[in-house]
Amino acid sequence: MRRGLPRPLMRAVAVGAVLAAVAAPWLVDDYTTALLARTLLLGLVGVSVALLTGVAGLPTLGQTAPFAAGAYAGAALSLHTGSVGVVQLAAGAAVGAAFALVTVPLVVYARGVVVLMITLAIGELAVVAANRWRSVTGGTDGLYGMPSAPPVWGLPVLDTERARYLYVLVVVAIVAGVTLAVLRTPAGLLLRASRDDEARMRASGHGVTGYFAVAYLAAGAIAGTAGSLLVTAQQYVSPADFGFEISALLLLGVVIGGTASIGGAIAGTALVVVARDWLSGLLPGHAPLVLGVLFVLTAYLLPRGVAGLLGDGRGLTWLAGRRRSGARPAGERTAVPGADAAGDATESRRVSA
Amino acid sequence: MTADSLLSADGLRRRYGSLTAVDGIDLRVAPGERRALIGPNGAGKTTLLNLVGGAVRPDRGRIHFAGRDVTRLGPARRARLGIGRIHQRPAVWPSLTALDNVVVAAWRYAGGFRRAFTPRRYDTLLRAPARELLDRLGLAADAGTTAAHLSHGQRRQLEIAMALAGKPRLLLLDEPAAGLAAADVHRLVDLLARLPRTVSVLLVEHRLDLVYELADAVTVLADGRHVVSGTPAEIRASRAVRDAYAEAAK
Repeated sequence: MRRGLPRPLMRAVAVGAVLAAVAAPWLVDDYTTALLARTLLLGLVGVSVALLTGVAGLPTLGQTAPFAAGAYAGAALSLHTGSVGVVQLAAGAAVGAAFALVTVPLVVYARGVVVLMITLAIGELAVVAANRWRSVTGGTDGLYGMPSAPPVWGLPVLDTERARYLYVLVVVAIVAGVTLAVLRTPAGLLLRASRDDEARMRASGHGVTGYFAVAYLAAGAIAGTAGSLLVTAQQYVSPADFGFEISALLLLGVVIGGTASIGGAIAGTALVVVARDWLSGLLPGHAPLVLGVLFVLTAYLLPRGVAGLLGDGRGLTWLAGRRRSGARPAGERTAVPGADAAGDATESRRVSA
Repeated sequence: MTADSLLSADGLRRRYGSLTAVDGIDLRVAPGERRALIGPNGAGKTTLLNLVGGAVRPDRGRIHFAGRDVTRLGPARRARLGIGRIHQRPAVWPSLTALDNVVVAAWRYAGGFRRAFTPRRYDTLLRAPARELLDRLGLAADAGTTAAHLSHGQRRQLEIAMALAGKPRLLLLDEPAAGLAAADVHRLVDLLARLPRTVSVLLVEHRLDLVYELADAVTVLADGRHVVSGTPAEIRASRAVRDAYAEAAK
């Protein structure tokens, strides 16, 4: 039933990407290495966006908020205690999850475009808080002067761009790998089934809201982890790292990557960030415009994302594939496969309005 | 009377805006009974099923299931108490394989993560019974097919397998024969007729031949109200039924 490239070719593409990622810091200068590290950790935030948007069907613009929470937690810890990398990672994950715990009731009862609006507000409020709460965040000046730390006790300090890049690469690979592994267990099945048809899930005794809450907490922890990586990678944190532009880039990257695909999320985010950085040099001031055009082209040409070409992924089909629980007087709306996606899209729009 | 019933609904009423879809209906289903709900379009049959299944809450009235007041429980809680459901348009999870659809449907009843934690127990508790169910419904060859790629009839069979995977005590069937080819209808009737009497059935069906074949008792609704109840033979002979349908046809 798979459509797209054959498996050996997909494997070759994946192996090639991993080799290139490992070899990169020896092939480019320090400045580019630092940019790549930042791109990779944004890819990890992209993983959390894909988990919510593609796998759970809750499209989000708000993952910059737990990302910021994790970053400030990691920065504070680093400034005050000079702790090692793993402790900062744990703190980032915990604070990201705690942030998600506080906002979970706002998100899990909403569906579709409403989630998009609510998470947009959450992300914007987080930036406002980062600007105003000077005693913790340093306001618009940000936090800087974090000392270089070893990844774990007993290892050398990460004092070169190359070392920091490799540290980020390893952590991103581990977190993305664990996410992928968990999604391959029945937990992934339950989440995808909840996305496909909530009413049917409830009719089979599943408490769908609880599943969405767990996914949202996990996504918060992943974004928080990426936040503490940001502290390590650029040794500087400011509200500019978490603005709306970043949220939009992440969603664009995840959609390009195929929405439900974890590897696609990293690749898509990287593609978008690299395109933006390259374009901002080429066409100063016009990068957002070009990214907008890229988004429109993606929506029309690759509705299942780049991962759709590889035979996996949903891309923008989440817009059509989302449905809500509850029934109506005449004839109940239930699962409809992709075959009648057009009529279905109208349906979800009506439901989300 | 109430004590003997598996399901008893009293004075159910549900409005949608100015439309009263269900207007003061009482309903009893005894353990093992096969009760059919018939009536013209807009009689409130599907709404009544939704009220019993919990997808819709009544504005007035109470619902008791197995001696318990379930009026305020949501559909997931009622499902766990033993109310299984299939929908008018077959509801399956399109991106999962047929086998995984049945596995997820059986999940809560097999103990979920708590019991099916190891791959071996997952296989014995969930996958093996799911294969058996698919086999019973003639879907064995399609176990690995994504549900989105199944035909309408196959999805109908799959949803029945999913409902049965929940080991229901009461099965709510909303027009199970709609859109099925003749051979599939035959298979469906056969399957429903052979369901053990530990399962009660509440069936909404337009095809009266199937109703008369499957049901022990028939309740006729019109305009959200109860018209008459009786055995299939009584209903077949009833003037009130013919009038109700004639009224709707006008």
